[in-house]
Amino acid sequence: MSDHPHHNHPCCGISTNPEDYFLTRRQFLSRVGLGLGALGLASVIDPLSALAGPSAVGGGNTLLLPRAPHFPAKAKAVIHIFAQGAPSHIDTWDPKPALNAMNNKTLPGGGVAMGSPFEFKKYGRAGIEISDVFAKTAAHADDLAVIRSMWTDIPAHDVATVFMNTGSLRIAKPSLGSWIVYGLGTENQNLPGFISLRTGSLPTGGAANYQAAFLPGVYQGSSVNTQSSTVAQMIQNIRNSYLPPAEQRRQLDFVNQLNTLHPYNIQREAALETRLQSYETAFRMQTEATDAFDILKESDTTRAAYGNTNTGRQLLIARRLVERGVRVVQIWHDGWDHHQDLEVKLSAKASEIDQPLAALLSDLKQRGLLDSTLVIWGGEFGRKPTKDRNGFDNPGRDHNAKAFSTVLAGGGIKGGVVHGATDELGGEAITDKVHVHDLHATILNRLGFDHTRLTYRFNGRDFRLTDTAGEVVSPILA
Amino acid sequence: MSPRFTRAFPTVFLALLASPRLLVAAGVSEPPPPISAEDLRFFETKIRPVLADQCYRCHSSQAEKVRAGLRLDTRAATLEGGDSGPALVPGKPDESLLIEAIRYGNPDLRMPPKGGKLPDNVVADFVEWIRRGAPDPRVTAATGDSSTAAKTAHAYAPAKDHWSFQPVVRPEVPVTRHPHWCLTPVDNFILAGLEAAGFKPNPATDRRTLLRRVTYDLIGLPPTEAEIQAFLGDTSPDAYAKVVDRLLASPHYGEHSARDWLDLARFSDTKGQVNRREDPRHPGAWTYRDYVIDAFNTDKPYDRFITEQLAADFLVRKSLNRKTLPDEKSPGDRQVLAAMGFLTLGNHFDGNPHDVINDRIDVTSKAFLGLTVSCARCHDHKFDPIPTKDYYSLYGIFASSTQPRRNSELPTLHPVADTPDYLDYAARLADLEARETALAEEFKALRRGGDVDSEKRRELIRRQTILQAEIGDLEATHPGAPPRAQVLTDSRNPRDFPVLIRGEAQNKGDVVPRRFLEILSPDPARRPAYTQGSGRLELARDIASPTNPLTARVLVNRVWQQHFGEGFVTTPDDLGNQSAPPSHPALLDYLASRFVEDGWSIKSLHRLIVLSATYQQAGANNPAYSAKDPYNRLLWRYNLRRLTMEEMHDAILAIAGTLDPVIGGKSVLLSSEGFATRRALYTFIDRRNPPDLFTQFDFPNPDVPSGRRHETTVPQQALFFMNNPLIIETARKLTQRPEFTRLTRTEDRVISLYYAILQRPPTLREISLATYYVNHTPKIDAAATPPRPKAPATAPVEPRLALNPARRFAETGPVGGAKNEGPLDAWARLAHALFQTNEAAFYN
Repeated sequence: MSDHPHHNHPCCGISTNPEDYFLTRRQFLSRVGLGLGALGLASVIDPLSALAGPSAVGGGNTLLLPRAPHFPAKAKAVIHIFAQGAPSHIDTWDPKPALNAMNNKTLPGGGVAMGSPFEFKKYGRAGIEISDVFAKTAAHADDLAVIRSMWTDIPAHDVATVFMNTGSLRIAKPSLGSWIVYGLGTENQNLPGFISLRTGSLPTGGAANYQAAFLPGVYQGSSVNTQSSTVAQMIQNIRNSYLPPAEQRRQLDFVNQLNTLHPYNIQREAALETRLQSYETAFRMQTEATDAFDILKESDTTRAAYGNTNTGRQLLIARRLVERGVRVVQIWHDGWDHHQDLEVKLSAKASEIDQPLAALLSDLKQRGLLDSTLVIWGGEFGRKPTKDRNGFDNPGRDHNAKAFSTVLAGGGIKGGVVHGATDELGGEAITDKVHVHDLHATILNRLGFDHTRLTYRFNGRDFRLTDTAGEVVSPILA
Repeated sequence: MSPRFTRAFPTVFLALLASPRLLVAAGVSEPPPPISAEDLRFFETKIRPVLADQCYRCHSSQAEKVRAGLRLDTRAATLEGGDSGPALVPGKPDESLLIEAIRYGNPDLRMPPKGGKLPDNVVADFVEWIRRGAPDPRVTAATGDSSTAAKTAHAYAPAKDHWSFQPVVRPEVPVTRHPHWCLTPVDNFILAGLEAAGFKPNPATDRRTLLRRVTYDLIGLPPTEAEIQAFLGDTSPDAYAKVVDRLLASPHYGEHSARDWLDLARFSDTKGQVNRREDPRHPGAWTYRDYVIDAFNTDKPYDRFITEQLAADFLVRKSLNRKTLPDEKSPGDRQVLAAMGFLTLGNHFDGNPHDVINDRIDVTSKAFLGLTVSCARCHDHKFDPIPTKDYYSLYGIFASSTQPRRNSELPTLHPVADTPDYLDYAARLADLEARETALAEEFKALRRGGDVDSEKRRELIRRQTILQAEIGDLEATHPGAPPRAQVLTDSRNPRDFPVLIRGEAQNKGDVVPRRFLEILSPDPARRPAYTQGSGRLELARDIASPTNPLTARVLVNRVWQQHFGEGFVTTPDDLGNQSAPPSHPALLDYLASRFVEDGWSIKSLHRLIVLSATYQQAGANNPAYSAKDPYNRLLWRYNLRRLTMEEMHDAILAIAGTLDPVIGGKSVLLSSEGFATRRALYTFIDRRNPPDLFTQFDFPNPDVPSGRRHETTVPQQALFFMNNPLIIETARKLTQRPEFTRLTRTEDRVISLYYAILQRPPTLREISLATYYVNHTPKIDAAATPPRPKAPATAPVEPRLALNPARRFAETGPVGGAKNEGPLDAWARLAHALFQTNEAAFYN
């Protein structure tokens, strides 16, 4: 180090005593372990301060540390199952006997009525009526809150899907998961705080569904393709294909040694320490993430309960992630756009999720996680009570932004509740209507946030998930 | 500028809403006590809007008749109170009349008198505000005027006093106590601030560090060993100035500067939410990127740069008035038309024209003016004096502009020669377009027949989607496809448009003339309406005017940020009322006026800054100073800088000798070999799905103009450096170069890698650590190495899926096409380790 300019030459105002700067390896590692250097870290920002702009130099890991919300939270984690394609509420969670009675008749408002081909039965103490296609999930009726009066703005898949995830129709805004991790941090620093599980290709609407937009990139959802056969393919760069772990550890120790020697470091720069820490986290993540995604570590019984399907695996992975402290898991279950042949296609689609969802609820409950995990199932809009003219002999239903159903469970949600109602044919939500912004306000409420106060200053304005709207749906709160 | 300002510490900088000059202008001698940033934010967001909405009508100098003698529009007046005494007692909400009134508990004192009690959370905000001591930055009050029109005008009065709306006046260069330290006038301003705080600047940094700093700063690449030796060996007094000139003359300078501008221009190669079945690509996006590179390299005067991006079509109108078919070979330099990609390369928002126009207003106002004009789309701007009418004045300009529907209708950048490639392209295009026309006929027939045969319609839609994709492929990939400028032109009948009340298209208000923003007009009362076509050229000239108070300041602030990591104003895209005051307002104004006088030359501005002693300071910390000025706002040292993702990528390739120095051209896919050889700014960016790798390294959202990146540190970044084959194979290549392999002594090899990667010799300790590391590398044991993953089979993509724009360009292949080429020897491991050090990722 003798050649370093600041060591031998007295500099005005600067200590030339290396003791002032040098950290022993033990000190260094203990601070790395702390997560936060025990320094007056100029660059560590208060993530909830609205003035916290992009100056989060090196604050990456600080930004993800767990922190308290506005008031005590009922839920610590969220599993959001996105039934993409706009599931028909009329055939799943919202029975319409009057519509069945009108089957095949021309309705006054135009179109030919299409009764639901599925039976509805009453479940649970509250006797919630649920379609046979969700019979297994329905066994948990006393844990479910069914909102039958959802509505949204535009019945086009990609716009509405992004809207359901970001509260914004066209302008790029942060996603629900990003807002949550921004507000709460995350419990496990060795895993991303927000993980989006997809099967194969990207979801409709693209990365906007889990984007951080103007929030720091640490809040972006990590998109994982669970169709890949190995964890190495699921998560970019999670494996080193050259060095065995021990040799990689040796390399990392060597890098750390160089870093502690290096003159910039002895000046105690927070940004440099944060980067060092991120390497240690990354090293641990290689093992931890591999473990979290490896469902072979589950018992045969558990795996069988979820079912050996893509969706079953996704939900089981979701439970493993939540168990490990991941804050938000978004799961993409595509293919609910049933313009044609609804009877066959919808029941097939529902059967993909019914058993895994029932298994997830049982499993979470059994592990004592359901109380702290908010589980959400729903799509981007609903469908019409009439036959889609494009359906011909195999009828389906067309898009409908005025009515759909969303189901919630766990995490501070009152079970055995039906909230709101559509008109007698199911065409439009009329009682206790719940807009997408209201749903967002409710979700944030369960996580301990007043949705009007979870804001971020960007370009001179405080932005929030619910824009200028949103009311908490109190009747479904436990 | 007043030394009072520069003496203050950073918290005070943040706290002062108005600069002292404005206080003097307003005739107020006493500034309000300093407020913390948090309190200021609280006041501006929770308190001021309510006061203005609910109270000012009766309790301010704008009121027709001030009620109860109480004015609530300045801090002093509020404290002084009215007929009933002080409106509030700082720190004691329960003793404050204001709180009593808004709580509605006293039937004789209920405010506001009409419209009912304020919401509970608003009342709670006021209680909290007074509990905090009622921090209040307001010093100037609106003066009264009874006419309604004047009242509207005055609603903005305090906002209009904001420093950045005042004309730039060139300040005197301050006299300092240590003039010998000052190398350019920049230093006088900085030193005056340091001296006022009792600080001294750091000494000059060593030459090696300085060269690394200025090279990364100006061209985004590390210096080569030869460049280092040349600089160390050049003892002439202007050695450093020569380096600066060399770097500014390098074509890599334009590439590096362009990346910042592309962030600002929310640049991407795709259209986002496409209109109906159109192809999601902007096939000629790269021509705009190359225009920007060239503009920086040729030091195009900034006023010209602005004008071309907004109105290049006016500048070459003659050639545009004729039909610009692809076979046209009109002479003349039309390259400048590529500049208009600035406006046209945004998201297509499902073809919603209001959103497209909003995007253009947004990018124009943020990039050039540092103003968030798009906030005034639905209501008058809450903080800045931008009424909704001004938004719709600009709306009319862009609504009077149009874009050709087909890519092939865009003008080519050069005359096109009948090469075999071109002829092949033209023939294919003619065929595809004929099919397109025929398909349009089929659609028409379907509609005419009132046919509800939806299967047929679906079939036509499918064919149309495929056809558009084929045309897109042809334009984007055919070697004979001529580069085209992504122009905007005037529509046939330019006209004024009405205000859309609350931004709703069906809710039309008054028609407003196309003209410039009131707050930036020299004579707001007589703002001329734009008369030349859409008015874009006139708009460009008003923006690029030497008397525009914002344009030069905004640019200077951006360039300063490029060199110090932080601008004078920390929000480079918003210099309005919501921004924190500048750290060095006088220097900002000095540089802004010099910039205009120097012919809007950005290179001259760089020189003024990087040749300063301020810039050449050492980066060493000083605990005593950092305790007082933790953000180094006074610039008593040089800031530690982290390389961006692009800089890191480019540096590693340059170090290994695998960087292709060619400038410009079509974008390269992340998964192609191009990413392993070209600078990262040439990467194809799909705005719907920017590559995860980019996002993880803080690449900004390409739907939002961004003058500043977040700087986050996440483990995914580390995983990329630790494990990605592109990084590891590049490290291996570095150790396979003959100049390395011919070295035989371990020490020489270590030294060579240090020079290459960190641009310095290793210390003795570093040599011994590296030697130990190399000597203790286990023999390569294939069994101990994890099995190399098979290259992921790229499954054939189903045509239907591939046509979904959201999924179209999802890349699954390995980054840069790199794959594990076999076991690594100890030297490749050492090189890879050095790539991972902090030193390789930062400069100071």
